[in-house]
Amino acid sequence: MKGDEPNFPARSKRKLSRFLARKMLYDFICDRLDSDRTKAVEEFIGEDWETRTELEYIQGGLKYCGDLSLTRISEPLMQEIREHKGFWARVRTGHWWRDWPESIKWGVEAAVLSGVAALVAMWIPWSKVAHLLPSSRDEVVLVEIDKDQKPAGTAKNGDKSLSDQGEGRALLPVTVGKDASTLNPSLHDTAEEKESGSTEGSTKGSAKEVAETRKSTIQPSKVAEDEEVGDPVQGVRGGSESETAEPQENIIKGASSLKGFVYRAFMSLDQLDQVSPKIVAEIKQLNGAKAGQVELGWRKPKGSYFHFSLPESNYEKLMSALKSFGPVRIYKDPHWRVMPQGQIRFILWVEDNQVKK
Amino acid sequence: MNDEARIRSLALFFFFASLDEKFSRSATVKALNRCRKRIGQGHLPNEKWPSVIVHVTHSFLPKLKQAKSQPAAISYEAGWLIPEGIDLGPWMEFQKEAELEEFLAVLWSGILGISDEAISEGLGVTVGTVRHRLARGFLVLGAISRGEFRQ
Repeated sequence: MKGDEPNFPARSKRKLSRFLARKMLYDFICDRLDSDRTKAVEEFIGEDWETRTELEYIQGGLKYCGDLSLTRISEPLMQEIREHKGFWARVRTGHWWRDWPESIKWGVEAAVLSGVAALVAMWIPWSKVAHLLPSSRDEVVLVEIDKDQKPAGTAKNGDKSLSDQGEGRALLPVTVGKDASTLNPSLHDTAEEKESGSTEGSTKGSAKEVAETRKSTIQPSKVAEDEEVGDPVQGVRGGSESETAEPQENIIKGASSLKGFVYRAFMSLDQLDQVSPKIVAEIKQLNGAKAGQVELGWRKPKGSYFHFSLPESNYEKLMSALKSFGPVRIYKDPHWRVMPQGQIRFILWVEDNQVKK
Repeated sequence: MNDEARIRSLALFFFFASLDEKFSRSATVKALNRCRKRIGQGHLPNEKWPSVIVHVTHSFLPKLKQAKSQPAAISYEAGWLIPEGIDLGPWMEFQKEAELEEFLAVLWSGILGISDEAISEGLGVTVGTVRHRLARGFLVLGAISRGEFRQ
C-alpha cells in the first residue's frame, strides 16, 4: 500500500568541523574520500581560510617531493654500488693488497717482520746459546789458583809454600792491630831488617814505609799490583806511641765472592825448635785447633807453619802470647772460606833466624 | 622492481636522509646487501621489495639521527643528479625541523614513491598512522618551502 511506505524525516545536513576537515585533507588530496566527504571538505575549505592554507601547504610539499623524486643516479655511482665487493671478497680475489697505497704496504710488512723477530727473540733460549757466542773479556785476572796442581815456585826439596792448603792469597789488605798503642819502637828496626828477607807473600817496604804505616796509611803491595795494602802491625810492642794510637781496622775487601777472612801472621825467631812447641801449647791452651791438614807447628826447613782456628774472644790473649816470643806482623786477608760465627782462623809462619843467617 | 630501481631507491633514500655523500655510498651498499639477505632468507617475492627497503632503511635510524645534527656534506656532481632549478634548502631545513618519523614517511612516500601499505607493512604500523605522519610531514614541508613555517 502506498500509504504503508515509511516516511523518513529529511536528514539534517551535518557540518564538518575544522578538526575533521584538517584530518581529511591529505586523503582529500589523494582522492581517497567518498563523494559525501569530498563535498563536505570542499565546502569547508571554501569557508575556512586556515584549512585552505593548510591544503596549499600539503599540495606544495607534495609538489616539492615530486620534483626531488626526479633525481637521477649517475652511471659510475650505480656501477660502483652494483660491483662493490666486501672485505673478504676482495681478500680472496687478491686485488685488495695491490690496491693498497705503498706506505700502508711497507707499514704492514714492517709490522709483520717486527712481530716475527720478537717471537724468535722470545722463543730462542739465549741462556743456553750465550756460551757459544764470542765474548771479549775486559776483566783482569789477578791471581789464578789451580787447586789440583802444585803451585809454581815450589822448592826443590818439596818444601811447600803457605798456599799448599789452598790458602791462596788473592789480596793483601793490612789491618792495624788492636794493640797498636803498645808498639815497641825497639822492635821496629828489627822488623825492618827482617822485612827485606821476609817470607813469601809478605809485604816488602822500606823503613820509611814502615814508619808511615804506623799512621794507618795504606801502602801498595807487590803481591797484588792493583790492590791497596793497609798497615801491617809492626810487632806487638810494649811502649805506646801516639802516632799509631788509633785502634782501627781498615779492611779492604777483595772480590765479592771472598766473604770470609784469615789472619796471616809472620814472626822471625831464634831457636825455633825449642820455641815451636811452646807456641803450640799456647795455642792449644787458648782452645785453638788445627784448621788445615797438617799438625800445628809443622816443621819445615826454613821455619814452622801453624794453621789453626781460635775463638775470637781469645784473639788478644793470642797476641799477648805471641809477642812474648818476639815481634809479630799480622795481616787480615779476605778469603772464600767462612768460619763459624765466633771463630777466627790463623796462618802463622815463624821463620828460623838461624837458617836465614 | 628491478635491481637498478632498488639501487636507485636506496641511494636516494640515504642521500636525502643524511645529506652526506660518503655515508650514503657506504650505507647504500650495506642496505642493499641486507635487503638481498632478507629477501633470500625469507624467500619473499619481488613484490615485497618496497616493504623490505622500508624495514632495512628504518634500521639505520640511529645513524640518521646523528646525521640530523651534522651539517650537509654534498656536492652536486658526486653521483646524485638533482634536477636543475631545484633548491635543496627547504629540504635541509625540513630535515632539521621535522620529526624523524614524519620526515622518513615523506621520504619513502614522496621521493621513493612507496605506497602507504608497503610503508605500514615495513614499519609494522597501521596505514592510518602512516597517513597521519604523511599529512603532518607534507604540511611542514609545504610551509617551509613557502617560508611560512612556524614551530
